[in-house]
Amino acid sequence: MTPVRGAEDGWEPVARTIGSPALPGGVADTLTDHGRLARGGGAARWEPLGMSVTPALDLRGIDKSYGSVKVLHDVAFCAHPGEVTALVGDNGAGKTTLVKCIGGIHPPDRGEYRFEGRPVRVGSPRDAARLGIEIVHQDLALCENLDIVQNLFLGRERRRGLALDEAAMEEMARSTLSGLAVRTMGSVRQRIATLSGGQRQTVAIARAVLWDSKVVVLDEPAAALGVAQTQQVLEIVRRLADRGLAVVLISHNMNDVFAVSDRIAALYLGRMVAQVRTADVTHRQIVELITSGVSGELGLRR
Amino acid sequence: MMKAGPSQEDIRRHNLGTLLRFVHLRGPASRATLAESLGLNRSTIMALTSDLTAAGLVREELPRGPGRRAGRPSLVVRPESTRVYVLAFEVGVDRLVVARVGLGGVVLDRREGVRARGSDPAELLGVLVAGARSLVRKAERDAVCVGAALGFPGMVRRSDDTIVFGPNLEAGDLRLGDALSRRLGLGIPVSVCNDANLGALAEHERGAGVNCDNLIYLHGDVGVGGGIIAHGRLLGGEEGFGGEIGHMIVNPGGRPCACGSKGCLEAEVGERALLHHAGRAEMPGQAGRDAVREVVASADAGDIVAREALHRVGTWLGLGVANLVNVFNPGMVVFGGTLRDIYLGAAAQIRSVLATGALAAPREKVKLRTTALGDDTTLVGAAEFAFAEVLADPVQVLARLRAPEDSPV
Amino acid sequence: MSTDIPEGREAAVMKLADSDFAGDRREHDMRSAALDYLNKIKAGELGALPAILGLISLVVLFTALKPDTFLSKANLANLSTQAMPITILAMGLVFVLLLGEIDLSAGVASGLCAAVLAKLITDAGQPWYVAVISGVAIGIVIGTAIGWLVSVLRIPSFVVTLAFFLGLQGITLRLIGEGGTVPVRDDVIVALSNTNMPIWLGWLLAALCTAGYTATQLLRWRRQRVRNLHSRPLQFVLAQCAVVATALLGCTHVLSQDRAVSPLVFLGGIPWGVPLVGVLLIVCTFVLGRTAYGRHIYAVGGNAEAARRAGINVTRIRISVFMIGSGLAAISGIVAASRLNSVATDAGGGNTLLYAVGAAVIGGTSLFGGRGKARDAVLGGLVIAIIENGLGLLGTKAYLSFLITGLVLLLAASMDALARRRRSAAGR
Repeated sequence: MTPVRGAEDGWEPVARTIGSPALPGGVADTLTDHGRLARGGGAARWEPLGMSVTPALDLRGIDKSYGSVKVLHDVAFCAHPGEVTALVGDNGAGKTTLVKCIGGIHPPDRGEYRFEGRPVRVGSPRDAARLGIEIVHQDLALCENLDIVQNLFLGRERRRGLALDEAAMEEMARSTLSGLAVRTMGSVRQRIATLSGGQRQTVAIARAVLWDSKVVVLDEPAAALGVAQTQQVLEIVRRLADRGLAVVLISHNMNDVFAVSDRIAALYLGRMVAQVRTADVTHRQIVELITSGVSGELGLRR
Repeated sequence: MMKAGPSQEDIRRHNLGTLLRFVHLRGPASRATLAESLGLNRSTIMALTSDLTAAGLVREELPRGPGRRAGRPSLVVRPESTRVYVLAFEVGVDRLVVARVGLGGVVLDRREGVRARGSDPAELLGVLVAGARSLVRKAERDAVCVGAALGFPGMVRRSDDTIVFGPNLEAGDLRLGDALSRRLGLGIPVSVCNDANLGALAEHERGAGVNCDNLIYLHGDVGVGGGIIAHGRLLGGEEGFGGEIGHMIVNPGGRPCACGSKGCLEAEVGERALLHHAGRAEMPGQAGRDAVREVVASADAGDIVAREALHRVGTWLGLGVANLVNVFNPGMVVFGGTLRDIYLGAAAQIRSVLATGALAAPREKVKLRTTALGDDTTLVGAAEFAFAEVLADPVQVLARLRAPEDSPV
Repeated sequence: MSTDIPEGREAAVMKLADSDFAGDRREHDMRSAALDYLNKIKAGELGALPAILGLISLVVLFTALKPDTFLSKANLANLSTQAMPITILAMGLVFVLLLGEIDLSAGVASGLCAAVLAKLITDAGQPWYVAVISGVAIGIVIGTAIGWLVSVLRIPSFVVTLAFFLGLQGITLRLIGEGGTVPVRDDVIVALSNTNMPIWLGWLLAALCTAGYTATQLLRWRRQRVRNLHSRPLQFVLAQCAVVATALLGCTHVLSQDRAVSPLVFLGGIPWGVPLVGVLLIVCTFVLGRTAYGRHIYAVGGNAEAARRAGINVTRIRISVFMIGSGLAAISGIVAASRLNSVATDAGGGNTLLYAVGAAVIGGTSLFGGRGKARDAVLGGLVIAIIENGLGLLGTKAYLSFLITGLVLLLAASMDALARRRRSAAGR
């Protein structure tokens, strides 16, 4: 058996975000953030070919201030289709602001916003929705007095003439939910009021993916859930990515992050200190990145 | 006819099996889709479908739903789920499940029972037979049972389906399959298989690893079982005892294992190890899945003892996975049973150990997943195993089974 | 070496397990359906049950107290015309209440609209349809104003409509003159409450409604079954159809009898106002239950923020329900004017609004928003009318009458609140 190597010699430096020189646009389009960043970092290797798909979401050089308070500084962020990208950082590191920039709720002051490779302008939530970017906020915004089907289609009801096409909506709702392998929902005609927290989260997620979305951002989906429900939600998150969506997961819980993510993006005081593959890092490194912005070769240059 | 090459008949049989397998695993498909996916021309598809329809294995229908497009709709071929079924048995450490699973993988009906610890084989057999009979009685009149398989948490010799070793069952060499087949009187053999091997099969064909041909399934219960899918096939070894990942030694001289060795993966990450580390081993009524879940819940709530226990178990599990990744270079490792809860509760530690412990090249692409079939992995695997024969030679098998119409049920 | 297994006894019961969306796919028999219904009631989903129980017990009570007069044909016909204005007013209030808002001015708005109608017919000599359209238009204008103040300026509806309650009374007073009344003598308007349909037309309409209702229910049930959707058991659907048919045909039968005091003339048939209520009920039910607009009203009432994020124009919904509320109030005022043949300065004042709110709440509409149906107004309207009518027959003193009606309203409101608590407790 191969002896287990220590963390030091087993570790190879990857990905530096800050300070990496931007490549000419034409080249950068065909590369991943990783390939690009690795070249900037010098010592690291290129990513394997499988990863060289165009990121669904590609933000570069994002600046955002609220008045005189600078919240995001030169942030780069990517989310790839088929992957869960975890966005981690301490309170006040700028996670929520970055999500608001992505969702068009507070557009960034400066920076480049690319969606599936082409530059776009996302100035309002409506713009984001039109591109296929859905955000599931922490407060799920469901109507408790309506049932699951009614909530899934709220504001986008299917009609047949003047009346609602209940049958088509119910069928679509059921196929979406079973596509997420949700087995625990007794009936799609239950009112939201009768559902548990985890089930509500599931409905909120299902609503986000019902419309052929490309990118789904989940803001702390497991906050305020019990263990069993958290696990269920995590598995649904994973399934979304396996179906080809680009999923961005914001979470404080390192276990959740490591359980489902493919990449981890760490924010520290408004800067993106590292965007790395989950398979390449350890718990300790991510915790160090979150708390001090640097961990060994990773993170901010001293 | 040339003797060397496959005969026309062989080719037809193969194609029939392939087509049936496609609709069985992927669900109803139009003739156009079938022609495209199987690489056969449409007239061949039509001939094959009509053979299968005549045998009562599939049926052709106009597509359902409101989305009718202009033009002649292509007929949809769907498996005859309610008329062609298998019986799937799962013998767990403390539960029993019998299900009637229709072609296409639909669980048509199921019965669950509690397996009392310390019950003898005769009692076990009685319960299984009773459950199966009540399922068969509820089946439609013209439905036909095309196979049966049983998942068992023990070591099973492949050549004669004999259970050589099984926890909680002191019976020496046991031929449960034969006895069950005789008592059911349906004229079909009952195959017996290791539960985790079936789990691997299920996850590969219907679960998290549908598109992954190199997959390792790890199942946690009282012990830890495993199944390895390599190149799309179950790795059984010389006699079918292979894949006992639970008895891979990860900590030489570590905790004693039920198998007599020390430091097996099972001894370090199984239910007993976790409960021992969490200081709950001595508590009465603390056993099984719920106890493991409680430890994970306590850890989540901040209990430092539970956290430490999960951390230790996670370390050993990560080490075990690292070894597997180095040896087999799997595309995916799937955690089921109690290991699902442990993985989701200790993922940071498991991945950290994997990141530092495994070689970079095979580690890069490996996906860690939890089971997509929940608690039914073994059951689904048993059903798939039972379908294997009819999928290999659909028309012949069905003709043989339909022949004695007077089977006493 | 193999151990042979002896033929053991067939033991142990294995239980049946759930599969995907078992709740939708389960085959219901009468027993399991009844159990489900019982569980729903326990969880606070009362539906029309309290109103129906109230209706039955009130009928029993008043029949016992006044056996010869309460169930007399004349009184039953009287009851139906008495319930009409309350019902229509309550139907408008259901829309407002669904958003969790209140319209305290609905009663006096109905009075003002009736006054305008009377003035136009009697003083200006306009035909009835001009008067009706103007009356309803004024109602809608009032509703728009209230809706704008509530949704754009964000003044609580309680305050806005309280101000309108006072202000509109002033306008009515100015229009009619202190202490005066304006008579309404237009044939069409008067006919609403005072003339009956031919017997054959009454039966025809009742039969058509029954057949239509049964057909819609059965067709929907069949469609749901065929497409494997969530459906109620057939027995329940049939039972519901039977209840509706009995009610419709029974009432038609009673109202078709000769109720004239004198044996020389024939007085029978359904008052013309009843089909008007019927049409309004069908339209409102359709709008609330089957259109996107109706769905949005429930959504805004349930969680306005969620509705806003789902892209629903909450402001527009808010304004529109006040428009509907006041528009229906205007119609209710016209029906009331028809019944009294005149409009007085206090039309729509007093306890009119209280009765209408009470009707909606007794029928099952929640004061907290998000729950309620158009039929609640009809059921609740009947309950209120029976109380008013029965107490009148008993010759109860006015103070007692007020007291009892107030108590009933309080009872309905507390049931609403309790059911709400049950529901939130049931939501695990």
